[in-house]
Amino acid sequence: MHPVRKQRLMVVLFILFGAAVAVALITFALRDNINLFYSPLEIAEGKAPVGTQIRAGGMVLEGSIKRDPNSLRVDFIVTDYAAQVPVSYTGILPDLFAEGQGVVAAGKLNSSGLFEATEVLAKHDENYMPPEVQSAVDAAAETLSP
Amino acid sequence: MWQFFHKLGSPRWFYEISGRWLPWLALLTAALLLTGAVWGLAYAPPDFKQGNSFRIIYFHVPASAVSMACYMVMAMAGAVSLIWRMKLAEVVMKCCAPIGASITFIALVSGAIWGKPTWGTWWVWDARITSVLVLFFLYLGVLALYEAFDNKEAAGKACAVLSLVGCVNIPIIYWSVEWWYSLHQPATIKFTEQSSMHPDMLQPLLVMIAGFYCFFAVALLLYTRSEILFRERNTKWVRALVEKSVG
Amino acid sequence: MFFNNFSELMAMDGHGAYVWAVVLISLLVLSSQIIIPLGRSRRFFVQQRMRLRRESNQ
Repeated sequence: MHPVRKQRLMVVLFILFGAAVAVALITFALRDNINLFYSPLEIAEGKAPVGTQIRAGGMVLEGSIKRDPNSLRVDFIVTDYAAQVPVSYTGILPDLFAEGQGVVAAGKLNSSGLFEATEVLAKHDENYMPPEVQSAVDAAAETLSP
Repeated sequence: MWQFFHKLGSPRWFYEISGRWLPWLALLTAALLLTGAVWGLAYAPPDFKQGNSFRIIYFHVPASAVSMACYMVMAMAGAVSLIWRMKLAEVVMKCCAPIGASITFIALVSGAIWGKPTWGTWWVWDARITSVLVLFFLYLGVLALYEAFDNKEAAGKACAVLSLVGCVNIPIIYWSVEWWYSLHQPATIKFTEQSSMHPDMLQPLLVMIAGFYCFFAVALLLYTRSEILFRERNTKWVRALVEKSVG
Repeated sequence: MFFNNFSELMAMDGHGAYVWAVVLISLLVLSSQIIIPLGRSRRFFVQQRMRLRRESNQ
């Protein structure tokens, strides 16, 4: 390659490398802020601040949803199968909210360890399946399990 | 190989050969997009959890994929224009910006519209969504930077450097859902393992992705051709074209 | 077809507004990226023809 072009190529590579290092350092320094939510384990370990607006994310524990018959209040437990966080929420839940489904709740952790949510978002996974195929899969799983 | 490279640098050769490809490519694009859209919207089965709102995937995923691919094309063209001072590469880089901005806009808006019925919110500042918004602003930045310079040679160089720096964002977008906790789900189509989607739903999605890639190629050719005409307006061959167009 | 009739296809079990909004926006934005460069080329030819005519009249 022509020496001038080689020099320009080095400049291009230097720009790429410099930008990558700068951004890597920034994202590493801000890694806690880039995470959208705290996992139940992090909350149990006390890594999440109490009394300030945060988000908690995980799975809704099977059989943990308790709906108040007189209001829109819902209590449920968010788990990552390592720790559990009780959540209370008053309001309308998204359609996809269900037991065993991922959720991200925004709100405050009170001193007794209850997460008082002001917003609950459903987190869905990357699996897509037609309804009849999914029911067939579920039926097969049931016959296989003892 | 080198001869091809030199030919590619000739705007006239590019204009003539792309004029021959365009009708076929446009036809292929229209066929792919039409087939994919009808198949995905009307014939594919709904999702067991999301129902019919999942059909937005047939626009959201192709737009998101092409928004990143377009950026890589822009950055590579920028690098070639910096290293080899190839005029055509600079034109291609400049022409990628409006197309990329439009397609990123589709990805963002379709994602927001999809988010409302599934997540329960239009927008959340998670890593994936924010980094795609940064991608949108990078495209707008290249567009604005180019217009800010009176000296178009300097404009081309500045835009090439900006698009190279912005390259860092592409792997961040791609892996954001794995590196950080986010609301956005991980990728459905994987290169290394089986896709987590039923084939009846995946096939129209692949057709749509191919359609969006072809669309990008068509739009890029159209933009590049009109820019070449303008830049070469004083050459003999463009004058001959203009004279021919009178009849 | 998955849907029984046209109105079901439009409604999509209540998600129609979301899905069709995305389709409409995509269509508008994509077609703009075809119309803008085509219009530019057309305008170029019109302007250059006028320039050629001016130059030949002088």
